[in-house]
Amino acid sequence: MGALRPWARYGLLAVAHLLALGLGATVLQALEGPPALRLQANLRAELATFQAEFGACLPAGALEELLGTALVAQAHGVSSLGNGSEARNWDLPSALLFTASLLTTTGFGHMAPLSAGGKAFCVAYTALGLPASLALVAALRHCLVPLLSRPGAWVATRWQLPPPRAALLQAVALGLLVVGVFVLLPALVLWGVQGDCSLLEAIYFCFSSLSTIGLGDLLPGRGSGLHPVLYHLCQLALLGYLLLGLLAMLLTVETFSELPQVRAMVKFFGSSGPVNAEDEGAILGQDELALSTMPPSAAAPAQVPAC
Amino acid sequence: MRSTTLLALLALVLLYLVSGALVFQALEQPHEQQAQRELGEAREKFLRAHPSVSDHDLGLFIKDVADALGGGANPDTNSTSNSNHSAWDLGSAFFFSGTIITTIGYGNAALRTDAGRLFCIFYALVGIPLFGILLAGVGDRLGSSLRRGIGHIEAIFLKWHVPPGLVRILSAVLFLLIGCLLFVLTPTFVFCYMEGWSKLEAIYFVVVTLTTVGFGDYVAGEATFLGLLFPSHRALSWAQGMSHNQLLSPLPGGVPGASPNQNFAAYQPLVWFWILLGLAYFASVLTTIGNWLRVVSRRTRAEMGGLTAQAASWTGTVTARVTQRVGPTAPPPSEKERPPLPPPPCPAQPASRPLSPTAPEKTEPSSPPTPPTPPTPPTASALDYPSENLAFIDESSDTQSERGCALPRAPRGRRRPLNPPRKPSRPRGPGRPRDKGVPA
Repeated sequence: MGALRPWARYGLLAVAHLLALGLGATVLQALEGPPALRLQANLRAELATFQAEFGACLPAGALEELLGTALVAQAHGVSSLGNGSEARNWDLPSALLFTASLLTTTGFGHMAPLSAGGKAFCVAYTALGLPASLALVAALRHCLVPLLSRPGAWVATRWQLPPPRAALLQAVALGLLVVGVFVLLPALVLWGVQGDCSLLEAIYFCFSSLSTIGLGDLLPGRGSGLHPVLYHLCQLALLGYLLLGLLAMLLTVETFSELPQVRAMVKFFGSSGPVNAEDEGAILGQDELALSTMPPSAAAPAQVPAC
Repeated sequence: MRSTTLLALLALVLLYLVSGALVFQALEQPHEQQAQRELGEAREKFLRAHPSVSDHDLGLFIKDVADALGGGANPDTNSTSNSNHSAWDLGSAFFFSGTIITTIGYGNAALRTDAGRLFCIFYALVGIPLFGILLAGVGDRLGSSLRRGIGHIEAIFLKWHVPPGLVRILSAVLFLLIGCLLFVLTPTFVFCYMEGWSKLEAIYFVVVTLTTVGFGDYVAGEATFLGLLFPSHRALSWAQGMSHNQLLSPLPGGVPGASPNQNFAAYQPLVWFWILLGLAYFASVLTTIGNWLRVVSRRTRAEMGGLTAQAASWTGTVTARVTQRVGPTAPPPSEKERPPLPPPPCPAQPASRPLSPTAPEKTEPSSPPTPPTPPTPPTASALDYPSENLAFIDESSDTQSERGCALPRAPRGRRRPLNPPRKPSRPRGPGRPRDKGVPA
């Protein structure tokens, strides 16, 4: 396998990627298609009964018009239900959560800017804010990863483990710890506090937030008619969780990607012959919060060291 | 990085967060209130016009419809032509998988089944790193081919005697501009045409997608449920993502939501491809700039470190001379600074001894008889080799550079044992001038 030409390796990676996408698509289709169709049928039935019941006084199109308006509003986060006594969308904690979801690239989508000014500001804000937060993340990583590697080093010396094994052990231990503290624990809390979601849904929410996917279909506290203060506390808690959890996640990813096995794999796919050391380091060292991070150190073996 | 820098950066980002929240609130809250009011009015009007429908029933119905649409249902009553449409046909499922892997996560199509959610978790756990590697590879290719082009331009700049620092900045700007042109502006116009969005909405969608934020209020290539929802009322542009003005006055005013993309099968894959390229490109640009900044900061620190060492050695020289004059019996006042040095043997030649109490690695002559000399090699070396300095250096070599750049060893010494376990294989490259004094 190591004798493959670079082009072949890229091709292999691209094919693997497409296959993975295809696999995901087929599985999701198999899993989600039938329930969606059933829901569709239910909806049609309900629409039919509604029209049957009130069809006499409903002119054609009135219902559709109302539904259309309501649903487009919903897509932008404006709820048509309730009479507005529940917490507003853009009060300060919600706005904070929104900007946090912007800067962490999670993007829940339960709120989105409606006004042209809001959208324009969003564009400018992200363009400026993302590099800043990326720089912050790089700085934090730089400071904290050495801290984290100390227990590993201690264990390695204590138990006379070879460094690669110690590194692997440390990475796995860190991964388990982070998963336990930042995914399972909050999921349990959420499940206990919020009655209407199952444990799996809570885990799913925690996972999708921390991986910055941020589907946003389940958001704790929304629409549950909580007292405004509680609702705000909920949002602030979510905000803190998002920021801390992401940091922990990134540190874990960094630790994992420094493992020799991972680096070997990246190098296998990433090397493309006599490339400039400059380019290699540039590309293999991303600091993106999109969790596509392969640290710059991954290129270290192939680079001329700085000093 | 120093902790003060870190704290400053942290404070800056938090401040940025809060100020952004305030601005968004100021911009959006009035609109939200207005939208909510209008919606309430529409609802009231409906209820008044159709008194047989009760408020409660309507509310329940709308809730059910919203839930169902979120789950991907299509409440099309005239279902003859669109009965085969599903939110989870292969193309849409493919697109959904794509948004999971890139962590964009629009959320316009939501998973309903438990099995689906579980699968999604494991799928993402494997898929995100896989995509990361792909991104690295693609970005590598893109970056190097673009860099070659920019290298030519840089050569031209250098021929025009533009200072190297400025050249780097210019090439970074050029990199960014080309990227914006290719991956931001062109798709903006494409989406304007294909989706019927306004320019602002298209650019908003592009930025939100490429940064992987992915709100989901606008999604390219999504089968427009609402457009399919009421095909008999196509003139009323309810297509998802219609502009705010159209929302308020749904009269025939624009291109209907059933956009041409429904017929163009390759549209969604192309959108996906664009996302991949755009992400790779901007990731590589960000890394490039980040590395350049790191180099600049390290160089500055090296220079500062060199100057500090210079100053320290000069102080040592002066002190030595002073103590020599006082007499060999007098204890050297700065004894703690010069443990490795033997006592000066002959009072006549104190200055010739290379006194470098705080920088034992420095072998270059560091204590010239005339103290106010211009900075010697340690700092000059940083400037003499711009190509090496501007190469991409990984983060952890930070400590190595500090070792090699003649900073006081004692406070940094404790870091050394940490490095070998983390990086067992660091091939030593050709000797660099900064390394000459470093017994690595």
